Amino acid sequence: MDRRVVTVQAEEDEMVRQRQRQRQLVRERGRRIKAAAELGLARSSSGGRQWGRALGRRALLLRKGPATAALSSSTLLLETSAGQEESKQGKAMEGEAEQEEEEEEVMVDEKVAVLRQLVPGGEAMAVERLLDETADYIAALRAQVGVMRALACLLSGLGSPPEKEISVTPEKPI
Amino acid sequence: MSSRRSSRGSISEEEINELISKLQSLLPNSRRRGSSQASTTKLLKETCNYIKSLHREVDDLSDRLSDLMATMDHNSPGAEIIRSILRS
Repeated sequence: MDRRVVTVQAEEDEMVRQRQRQRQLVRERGRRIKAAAELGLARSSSGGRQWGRALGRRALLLRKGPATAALSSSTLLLETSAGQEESKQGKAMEGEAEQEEEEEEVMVDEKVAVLRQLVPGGEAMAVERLLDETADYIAALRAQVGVMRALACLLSGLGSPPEKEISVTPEKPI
Repeated sequence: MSSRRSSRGSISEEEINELISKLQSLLPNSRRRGSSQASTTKLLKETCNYIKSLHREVDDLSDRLSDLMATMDHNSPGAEIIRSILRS
């Protein structure tokens, strides 16, 4: 009786460990898939695009392992800061008549700052360059999503009954 | 107004408007045309939200592909495709 209880407990512990290893493998595989997708995205960009070079560096760092992932953001920032033209933002209060316009410019600057974080290599770009790189980056991201969706449909068809997936973009409040 | 804008750089206001129109054409459900500052703020906000949603979609698809591979036979053609992609 006692030996049977011990055996059952050992089997349960083994099952728990197996499930944990399985989840860890799935997470590791997901990370590698994302790194490979980013590398492919970087290679698809034309040679003159700053976001492609920055993203390529980040993807390669991620591929080397989790230990170097922590360095990717600081390395990226250092590399993009060197030699990049700085964005000049000179503001001067010229009277209360332009108070509203000043507030509007502050809002634009805040949005530009958020955009810099989203576009790889965007931290040190001039505003005009940032807008141009953003347009190219969005087009490439959309292509990447399309490729990954097609791949998911292909794998679904190979391994299991097809899953109906409809992604709807939520309506933005006006 | 023009003095402050010209101090930002050598690019002209017309070229900035061209860049803004280019961004506008890439956003979903965006047919509005306007060069005022208010629409610029809204455009930038929509651009940021759109990039964030694309990033989330890539993350979700990566997780989904990973789950699909977990249930796949390691010797199937699909697994070989994935391995070749990851090796590239």
